[in-house]
Amino acid sequence: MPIPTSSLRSERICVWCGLALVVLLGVGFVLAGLVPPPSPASSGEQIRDFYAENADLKRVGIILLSVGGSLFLPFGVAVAAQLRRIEGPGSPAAYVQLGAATITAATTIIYTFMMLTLAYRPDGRSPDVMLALNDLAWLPFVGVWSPGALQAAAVAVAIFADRRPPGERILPRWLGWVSAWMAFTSLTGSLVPFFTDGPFAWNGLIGFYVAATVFLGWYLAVFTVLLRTTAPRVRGAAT
Amino acid sequence: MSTATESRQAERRIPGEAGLWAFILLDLVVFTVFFVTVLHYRGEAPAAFAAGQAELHGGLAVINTLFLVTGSLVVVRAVEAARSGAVLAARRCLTAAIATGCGFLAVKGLEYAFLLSEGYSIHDGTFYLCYFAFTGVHLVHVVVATAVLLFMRRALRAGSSPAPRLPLLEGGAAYWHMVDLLWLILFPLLYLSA
Repeated sequence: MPIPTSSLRSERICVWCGLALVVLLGVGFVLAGLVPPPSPASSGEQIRDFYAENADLKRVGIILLSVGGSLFLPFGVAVAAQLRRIEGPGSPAAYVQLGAATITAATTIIYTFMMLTLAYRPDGRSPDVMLALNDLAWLPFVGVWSPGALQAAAVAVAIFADRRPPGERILPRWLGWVSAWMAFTSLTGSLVPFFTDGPFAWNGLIGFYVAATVFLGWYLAVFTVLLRTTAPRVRGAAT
Repeated sequence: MSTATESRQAERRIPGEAGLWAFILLDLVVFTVFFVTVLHYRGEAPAAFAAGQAELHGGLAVINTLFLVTGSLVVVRAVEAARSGAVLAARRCLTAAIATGCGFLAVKGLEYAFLLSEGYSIHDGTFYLCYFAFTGVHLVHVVVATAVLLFMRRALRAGSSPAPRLPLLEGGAAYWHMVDLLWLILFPLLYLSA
């Protein structure tokens, strides 16, 4: 059964959500002054001062983070649409991928809730509470890597299972390798909970900067491929 | 596969498949960041690095280096054997390579056990941070590379032509060589340099 043009157009919007989420997360982080993130070695007082400073700008930035975070869901739908074309009926990898994307969206929103709470009335809270809330937001935000890795792994599994001849493949094999690499490299995030400073801490060179580059880079790579994959289908359906 | 694609592939001669090299190059980039991190911390605390290196069990690391290099050698022989259609010889070489991978894992486990029982952990300063974290990440790579070798050996069945499996064999071999190469940089950096 041919897919209606309106559905393909909606799918196209979902693809663009991939770029939008990267931009929103990037702008949100910078605007909220979260690059670098507050140091895990900070005292409760320092954390309180951190969120009290430019509190309104922080709130705006964190709201952008939560909007960007919600877009993991529609982008996951765009990816699932392609994985279903590869897999056909059943499509286990497509479901796993979408489920993982949903978890990433949900948890990102939860972390931004916590950050909004931190920025809500920093002056009225005891430093201990600020410290605990800050840990609760940042440790899993940077340190929990499994939903993202699961999403990338599902994409890799589907691409490697594509038995079509090279010219007719739905998604390029290199994206499968890049996805496998993203999932594998994410394991480094396991080191984040062990440190309050140094390269693997949640504000460290590897724990934060390398991890963020790998994570967002993967979304950009998938976005670029989906943009090309879905373009001829929309044009083809419209004519 | 069409003959046109085949001849195009013959012209380009990339071992394995092109996409795998994206994986390998990206992994090398990340490890470059790791190596620069080690150099950075060594520059900050040369004395602590020298003291830390003196406590490591260099002999075990030398054995492990021999394991990986020997592994690389037999993996090359395995691919050569498969190319000439000698399935059994290829399987024997892969078995030997798998043994070197397992040997590396066992010796590394022993090394960690010694250090931990001597009271060292990842929290004892930047030298031990670098040592445990980066050898640990490399160890995970050896686990994957050894699993890939097992997969390669399973793909080679006695009595059937190994030709369709050559891209898999070449790709798996390339990955093993990368893991070997990373160790050949990590080993002097952590055990010898100060």
